[in-house]
Amino acid sequence: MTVSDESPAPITDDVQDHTAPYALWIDGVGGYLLCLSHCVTIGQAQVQQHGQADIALLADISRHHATLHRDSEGYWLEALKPARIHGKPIAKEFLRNGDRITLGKSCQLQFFQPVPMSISARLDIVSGHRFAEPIEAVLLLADTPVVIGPSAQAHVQVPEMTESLKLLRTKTGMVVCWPGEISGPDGVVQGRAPLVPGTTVSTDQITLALERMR
Amino acid sequence: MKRTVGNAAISVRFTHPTGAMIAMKFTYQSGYKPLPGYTIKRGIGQGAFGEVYFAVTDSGKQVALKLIHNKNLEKEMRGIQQCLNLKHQNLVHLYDVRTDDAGFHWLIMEYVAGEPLSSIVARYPNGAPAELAIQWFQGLAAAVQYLHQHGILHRDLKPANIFLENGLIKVGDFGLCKIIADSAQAMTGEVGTAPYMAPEICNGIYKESVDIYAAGVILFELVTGRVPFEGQSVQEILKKHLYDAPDLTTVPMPFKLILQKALAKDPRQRYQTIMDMAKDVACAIPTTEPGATRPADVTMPVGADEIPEVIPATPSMIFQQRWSELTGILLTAIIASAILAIAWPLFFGRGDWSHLAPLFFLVLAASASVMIPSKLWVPSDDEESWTRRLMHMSLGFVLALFALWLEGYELPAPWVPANRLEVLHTWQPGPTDVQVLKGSWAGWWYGVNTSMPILACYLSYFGLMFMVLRWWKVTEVHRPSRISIWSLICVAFWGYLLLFLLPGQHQREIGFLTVFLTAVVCQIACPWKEKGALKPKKKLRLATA
Repeated sequence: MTVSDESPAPITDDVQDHTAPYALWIDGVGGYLLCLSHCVTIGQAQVQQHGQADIALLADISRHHATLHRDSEGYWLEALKPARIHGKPIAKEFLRNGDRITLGKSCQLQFFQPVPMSISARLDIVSGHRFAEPIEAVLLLADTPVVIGPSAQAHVQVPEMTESLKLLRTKTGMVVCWPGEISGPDGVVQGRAPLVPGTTVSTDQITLALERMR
Repeated sequence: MKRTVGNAAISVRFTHPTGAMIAMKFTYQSGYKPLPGYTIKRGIGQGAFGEVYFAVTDSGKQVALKLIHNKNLEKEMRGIQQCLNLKHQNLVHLYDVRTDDAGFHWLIMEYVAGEPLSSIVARYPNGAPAELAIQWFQGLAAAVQYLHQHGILHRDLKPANIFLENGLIKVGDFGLCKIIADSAQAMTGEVGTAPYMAPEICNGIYKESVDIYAAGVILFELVTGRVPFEGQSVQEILKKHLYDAPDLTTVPMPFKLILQKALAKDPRQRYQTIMDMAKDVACAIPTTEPGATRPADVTMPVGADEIPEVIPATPSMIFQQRWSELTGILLTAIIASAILAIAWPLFFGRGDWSHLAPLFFLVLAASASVMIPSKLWVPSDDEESWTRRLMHMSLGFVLALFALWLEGYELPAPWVPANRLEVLHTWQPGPTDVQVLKGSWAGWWYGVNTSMPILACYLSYFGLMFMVLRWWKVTEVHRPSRISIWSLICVAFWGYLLLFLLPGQHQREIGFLTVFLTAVVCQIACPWKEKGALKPKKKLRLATA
């Protein structure tokens, strides 16, 4: 047997852009699929994990039905199979807040960019279909933060909170920003703490956990 | 302040369950495995006596796990075990009860990916649309009836325990409620439960009436957006339950009578079963098909600011349904007309047997002309009264022509020579008719020996007869009784009053009998359902006004 000449893939700055999505669990609120990549695939859920789309839906759509592309302006929807926005067939279309996306015959998603100045977005199923994962919605994390807070201008609205928690990406990974103490795996820190897959961070108002999906 | 967040599985979209407290702290974090095979993903909510978690089994099944804090509840846990095998589409299913290494009990149950009714109600400060309230109530009633039939009281019905998942109502937290009641938590700190507590609970009486009262409070809340009795403390609210009459002034009419009965202080005056109440609620809107519990419409969960829409039946579906109902009605009408037409001379011992066939056909035609338009065209409100009257009047004209034709007269038509019509459409009184006319005001009106324009006589009699009365009332499903004496008296009164329009003895008999027997036939043929508590006080349903 010869020694394989396979070496670990070179680590680049871009590597986290190709990561598979995470699950973000927020106590008392819900579960969310967190997508960081600049290219997110949408498709039908598969039996085997291999070839599974990033956003897998239990719906009558293709295995790889559409792709979301992110640039510095926002998100584009590229249709690989028939897709419509507000009922109008599209090939590649820039997504705006409130756009209703129809994939195939019946599966409908709605795209939200609720936070001004942040292109990070939220994707909801509005047709009664389900995600393959036990989640409420998809959060698309761009270079600008995902906001969890009391106002309607938040990706996840939690009316009981008094301050907003921001989730953003850095070169080293994801961090949460909170005006106050954050307790995480490394103890209590002030203002800013890393959010590492497999761990839980909590403030006095909210607790969230990040999990690697696949 | 600590408040209930709904005891069973709650999932939240944009909104949060009502009144959740800030800093909801859960004992266990995401990733923890309290029981072998179950991995907690996140906390869902905190209830009166435990925490609820969303968990996934190793094989991927999504469940809700309820951690019951009290340890020494062996006896009550057997009460839960009694409920473990209950199956109903409107109940949150219980899968299992397990005990962890620390001795805590975990209830494993169905994960409901829907909103609690409490947060839906919060979106309708002035009450939900009546159709939705009725539809939701049917689901709730079906679940409660199932529990009652299995000898189980819910004891803690409230919107926070009721969920709406894809348009289907799911009632949770049954079988656990005895624990709440026994541990006296309900009486001490849980304001969330007090607005739904029946007065007799203060005397320690728990019967089906407790759930029916709570269902009444929930219906009140669905319809008006608030609960009937509010207060700062449990004691204050309970006192109101005991002594205050609920303020029903803001409740729309059909619900008012239902709530009056459901919220009665004396359990004996309430509905005796939840289904009795559900039947009345189903009839609360005239446009809903009575009695029939509508299947849970598949509704699409949409954004938080929108409500799940009921998929309406298409006009063609409604028409088809009404048409199939109508064929049955018409068959009954044929039999009823035949029997009545024969029974009339038999019963009164007079009348010409040769008149039977025309009478039968006339009654049948008149009944059909009343029932077909009334059943096929049901306007949404009573505003259309005059449109409907005029429509019936025009059918009365057609009926008059039919009566003429049955009598052997030729109908006015372009191909009939005008001179022939002139002769045929006048009526010469015979010797007996002159006798009758001499003593009557019709004779004074027309003159005794003059010939009469019979076409005009028939047209005016049948036209007016069908215009002055609201004939569609005798076809309504919710008329006061199957055969209303009052409507018959109305018909007889007007039928007799307008008789002066008809010239001869024979025509009068035919005319009067036709309209009177039509009223009878229509009421025999058209299905009737008692309205229960909603029996209207109005007597003159077929009155002219």
